[in-house]
Amino acid sequence: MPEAIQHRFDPYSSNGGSILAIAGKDFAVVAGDTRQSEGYSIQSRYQKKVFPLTSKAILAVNGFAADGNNFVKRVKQRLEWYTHAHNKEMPIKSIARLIQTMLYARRMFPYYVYNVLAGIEEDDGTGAVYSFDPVGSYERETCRAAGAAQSLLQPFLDNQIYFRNHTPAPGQPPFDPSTHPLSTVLSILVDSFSSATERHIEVGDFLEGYVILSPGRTSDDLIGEGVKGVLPEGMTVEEQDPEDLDVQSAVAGKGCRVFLVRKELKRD
Amino acid sequence: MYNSHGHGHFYSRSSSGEYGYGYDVGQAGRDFLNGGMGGEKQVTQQPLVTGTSVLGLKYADGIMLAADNLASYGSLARFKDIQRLYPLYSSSAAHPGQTSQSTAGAGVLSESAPNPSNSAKTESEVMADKESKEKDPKDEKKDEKKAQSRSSHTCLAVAGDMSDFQYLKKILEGVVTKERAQSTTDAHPALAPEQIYEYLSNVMYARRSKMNPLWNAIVLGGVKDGKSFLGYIDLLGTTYQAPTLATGFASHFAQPLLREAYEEREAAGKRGEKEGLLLSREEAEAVLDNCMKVLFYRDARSLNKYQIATITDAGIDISASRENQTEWKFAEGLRGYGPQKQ
Amino acid sequence: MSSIGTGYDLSVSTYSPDGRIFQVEYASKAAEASGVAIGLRCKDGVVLAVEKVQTSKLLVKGANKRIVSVDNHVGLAASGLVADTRHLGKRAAEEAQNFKETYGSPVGLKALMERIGAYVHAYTSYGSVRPFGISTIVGAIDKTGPQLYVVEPSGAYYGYRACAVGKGRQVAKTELEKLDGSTMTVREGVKEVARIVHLVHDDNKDGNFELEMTWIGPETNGFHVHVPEDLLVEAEAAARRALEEDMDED
Repeated sequence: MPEAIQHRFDPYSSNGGSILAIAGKDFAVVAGDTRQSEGYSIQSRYQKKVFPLTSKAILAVNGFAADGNNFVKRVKQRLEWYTHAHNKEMPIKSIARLIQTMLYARRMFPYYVYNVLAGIEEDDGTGAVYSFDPVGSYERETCRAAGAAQSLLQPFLDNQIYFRNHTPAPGQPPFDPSTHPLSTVLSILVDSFSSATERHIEVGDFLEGYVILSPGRTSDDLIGEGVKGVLPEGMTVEEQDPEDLDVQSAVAGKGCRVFLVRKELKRD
Repeated sequence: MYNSHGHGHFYSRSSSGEYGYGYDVGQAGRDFLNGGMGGEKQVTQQPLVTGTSVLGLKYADGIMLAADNLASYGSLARFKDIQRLYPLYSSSAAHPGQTSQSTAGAGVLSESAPNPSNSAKTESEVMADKESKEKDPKDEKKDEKKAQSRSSHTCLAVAGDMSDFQYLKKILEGVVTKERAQSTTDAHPALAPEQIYEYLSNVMYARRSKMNPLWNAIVLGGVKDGKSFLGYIDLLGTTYQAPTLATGFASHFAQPLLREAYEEREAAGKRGEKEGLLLSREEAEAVLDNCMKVLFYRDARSLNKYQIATITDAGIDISASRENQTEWKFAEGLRGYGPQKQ
Repeated sequence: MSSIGTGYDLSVSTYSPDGRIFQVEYASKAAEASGVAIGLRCKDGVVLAVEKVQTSKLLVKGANKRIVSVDNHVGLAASGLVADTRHLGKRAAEEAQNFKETYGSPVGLKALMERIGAYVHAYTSYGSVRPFGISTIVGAIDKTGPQLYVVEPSGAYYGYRACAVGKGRQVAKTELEKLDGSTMTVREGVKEVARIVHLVHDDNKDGNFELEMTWIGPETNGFHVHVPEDLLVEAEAAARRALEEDMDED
């Protein structure tokens, strides 16, 4: 007689979508699509997975949405406690280590979440991207793609940002991935997601993310008259008031400016 | 309809292959559950008496929810007069007469509770009903004005295990009662739909993290100060908001119809053919009626008897149970139905 | 033996030689010290009122409420220590909630009073605790209709048609005895109770006060809520007028 089929409760699910972050010399860009899905069903066309943590650090989460939301909530709470204790925002380097500690604490029942943290380093003002695996292994990188379309996005970034399979012209200095201008990075971002949308069913609807500018850096290549024809077509840029960023504005770091960027993606 | 959960993953994807870190998170989770830590095993329930899919739709004046009156025991249509819409009154006292329950008959699973009304109403709701009949129109106008200034209305439509649903009703009633009692000594705004949603999400996520989930999919609709809210929560703690929502089977059969109606109405509004971008009350109700009909045709765990909750700034209206005209003649010629012809 | 038995009044776990528990009696004194609290059972509901003596002009008007809600249909007002009132109110709310979770229907006032009475009594039975310094009025509309009870610091509770506790309760009781709640609506009751609180209050001795009033009745859908602002203003105006007329007659 066949054994009765035992139904086990699986506490995990996967909700699709992708995230991506690129660090520049004095800026960082982090974005994700806003589609949330399960299997072949689109649950929502607009569900955030990129969250400002401080005035200079932004976290993108991808994987199991319930875990992601809960993880972001807990990180934000730890950052608030830090702010109350030290009357300053936690530097991105420390946030990165905090995230690793929190993820590893759940080594035996992991958060099914791929985290990508982007922002500006406190000491030298450089753009930074930290990427994590679900149990807390992390490193600082120049760029990282994660999520459902990671396998489509990352090779493109390797080629375009890290110059993989490019050869410098004879006599030219070696390539430096940290020298890409913001306009190039935004083009790569938009092209990455447009392509992922075409090729992956779980990616689409809207692209939403943030650009963080290092203190003192010009925003002329992001907003104002001069950006026509420089910025990707259809992309909107909105400077964020620190008050609206859900951070402790009273102690917000001076100088960093945060911009919300949005673009429509295909819905099919 | 939670049976669809079983075939929820249409194509399996190894997380190690796709995500590149060579680590299977799911396996680690399962190790944990198999007693990797201390050898103690948590027993997971399975749903027994279940309700099938529910729907939610944003429209011009607020939110509409729909759910049929069936609670199944496996494939047996066990209880056919169950209300799966649950209205929450955040501060009824502050605005009396806000809700009208025109529900006829739709009862709770257990009628043994010493409730004189013999229906799903609480004692205070019964009192509210009685009073609204006796009230003269002058008072009603006064009350309405009061309701406008501090109105918050939330309603749930619940699919999945009915005993877990009853448990949820119990804890939510506790939260609302406590909140209401506290507002006597310390005036503060009534709980907003978003707040009840957040609370429910936390309850559901906490239970899934204990490997002892509340086996439900919930659509929560609400209106506060004219602003509407529509969100989904399930047994995994998964949450999302959208202008049209459907659980289980309905996410396949009804969601496309809801989205089509919603998007076409939006487009018509943008073209200037119609005022505003949202469906009217009549249009929204017609869309839901149609969805419930389609679901009755295709979902073997559904019933052609359902209710619609309408949540607006003025309050929550739970309709009487209704049914759709259906036509089954076509089935006569189908193999497997009627007399078999080779 | 002298009833002022030195050594017999330090603990509730010791009787005096003539069979009294002095700490409970002292608690009653504390309960008598604050402004009057009145409860009136009418034919269609219950009215609760507290004479809230304002200890400072800097207090925000209408703040620091003294009547608490125990459940949708149950209100609680007390004279004595405010903190004790809040604590007992919270405990009563938990008991009401527990009843509802266990039995699936709103708690009846008799059942609730049994629990509150037992709780208050427990504080008269252990050497490590202090009895409640409050006399507590609890009102409700339950499935048997409007109900009104008073719990004393001893834990004893009695049902009433009308009751008054706190400073000036004697005068208030005399006035309440002249009323017949069973023929009166709560709306009428509000005015009578407002009049009595104003009558009892001594401006010269106690300074300013605020009248805090709640009711449970048909106009509140059976919920325990504050009396609406306009009705309260109307009732207080009528109360002042009635007092002035009385003075003119004298």
